[in-house]
Amino acid sequence: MEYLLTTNSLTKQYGRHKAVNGVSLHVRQGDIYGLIGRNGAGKTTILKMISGLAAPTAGDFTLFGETGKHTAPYLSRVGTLIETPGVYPNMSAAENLKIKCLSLGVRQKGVIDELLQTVGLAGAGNKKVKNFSLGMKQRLGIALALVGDPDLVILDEPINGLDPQGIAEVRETLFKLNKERNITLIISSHILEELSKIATRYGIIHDGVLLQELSREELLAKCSERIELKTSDTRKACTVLEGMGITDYKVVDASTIHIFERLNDSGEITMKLAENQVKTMGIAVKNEALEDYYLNLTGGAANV
Amino acid sequence: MFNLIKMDVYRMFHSVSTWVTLAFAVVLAVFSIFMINTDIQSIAAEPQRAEQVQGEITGNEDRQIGMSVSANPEWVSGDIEAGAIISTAVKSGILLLLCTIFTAVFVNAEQKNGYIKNIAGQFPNRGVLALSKLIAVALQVLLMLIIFTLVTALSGLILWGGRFYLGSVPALFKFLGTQYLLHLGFSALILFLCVLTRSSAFSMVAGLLPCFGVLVPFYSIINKVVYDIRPGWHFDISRYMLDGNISMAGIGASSGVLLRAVLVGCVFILLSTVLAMLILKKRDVR
Repeated sequence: MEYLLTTNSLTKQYGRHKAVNGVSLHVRQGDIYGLIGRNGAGKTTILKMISGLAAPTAGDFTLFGETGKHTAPYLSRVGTLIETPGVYPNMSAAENLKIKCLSLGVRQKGVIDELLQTVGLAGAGNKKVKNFSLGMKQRLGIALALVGDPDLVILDEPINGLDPQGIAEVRETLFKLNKERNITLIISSHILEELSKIATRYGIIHDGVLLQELSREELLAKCSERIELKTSDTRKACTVLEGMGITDYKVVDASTIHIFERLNDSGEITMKLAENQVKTMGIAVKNEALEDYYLNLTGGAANV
Repeated sequence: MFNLIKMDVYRMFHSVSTWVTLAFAVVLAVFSIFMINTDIQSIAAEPQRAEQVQGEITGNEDRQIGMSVSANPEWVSGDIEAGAIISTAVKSGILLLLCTIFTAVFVNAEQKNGYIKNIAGQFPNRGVLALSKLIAVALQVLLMLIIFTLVTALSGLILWGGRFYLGSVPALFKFLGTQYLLHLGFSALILFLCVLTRSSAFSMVAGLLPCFGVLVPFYSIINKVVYDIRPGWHFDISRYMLDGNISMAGIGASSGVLLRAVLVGCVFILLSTVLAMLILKKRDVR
């Protein structure tokens, strides 16, 4: 089983509007999969469908190697936190966890204390949830998703409304869960900068369509500082670059090469190319921030 | 399924609404007894009222809008049977009011605070979520009925002393069993409305209207329409409705009336639960 979860042209239609349109995600065991998209892009709808909370209009998903109706028994191995944490405000954090434990038949002693400890709520178990801060509620929501030792945890905007310290704490918790318990995480967010600190793989969604799926390395490569060389003959240019000892480069299209080393040597590169009768049509050092990359991909700042 | 029942029963005993409605069951039982006693005193003070009240009890089966408990003129000087007092109090719809409020609040809580999203995905047949809730509600309705009955009896004993006697125990149990099914049927209907509309306010209002007899004029219109179509057919829709049967199935009611009430209760429990289960299973969780 190469992938723990794949969606196969998953589609959700409300009336004439397609909230999710033919999305095919690929999540490996142990991934921290970041689902990025602006508000209303269809992230929550996708997560609801793969959590078993909503039925797809078309398409299906493969979970733990099973597809369609056969995924039903495996949904108990999926923990979810969709939108805001669903908690009983008049009950304590421990009581909220106890309810989830009862529903799943979890009877291990000390499991509630352990979960509270994991999410950093060790001292707040007996406190009523209505007196919790937003960050504490968010962490309780994560603890609820972890009841029953799930293999896959789906978190929809888990850092929404948190202060910087809260964001860092949640990030640390998720990282620990992934590394120590080997839990696969799918995290949605519209804040790419935050996701980039934790995710190992990304799916960029816009208007219900999956625009791109890429690994952390691929994304960083796309966003790193580079020399963008426009030339009439990329093949010959590559020979010249290699002759100069430049090996970290990538041919992007028929006329563009991205060079990721010796960023201060653009003058020397131009001269060398000229010596070898390779015409330079343009050369510039470029640096695209993650956010800019995302904005360009989804159609510019006007969409945010 | 068993795990879900345990979950809902645990939640029920840890919900404020459970204890508030049980406390109100105690208060309303005492209140009913005091209202009946006030009625007895007023009949004693104005004997001519006795004939009017007797007429209301025996001759006129039509229900009135509102909620009321009335005393039997025989209770002014004679002995008072516990079953008759309990029957009068339960038939008034006071307990039905509490069943409606509790069910609407309890069933909708999960939807309102979003807790359903934590568990629904892990149960491919989401319909069982409705069934487990019905079982928790059934337990609460039973508790309310028992507490209401005991407090009513105890208050009667304190107020009327030696004149207050138990009467026929089998008849009392038959009456309570029938009323339990009718009250549970009504709670199941509220559960269905909660699942259908996802609104506790709508479900509560829709449940409170029959409690106060507001549907009586509509029943009259339906009866009149049916009479106009088939004059020979003595159709009365309230015989097939929960609120109508609750007011008719008193302790002195005939076996036929009690049997019909039991059937109506069972049909409402079954239909409402099946429909609620189907809706939960088919509809996406919001």
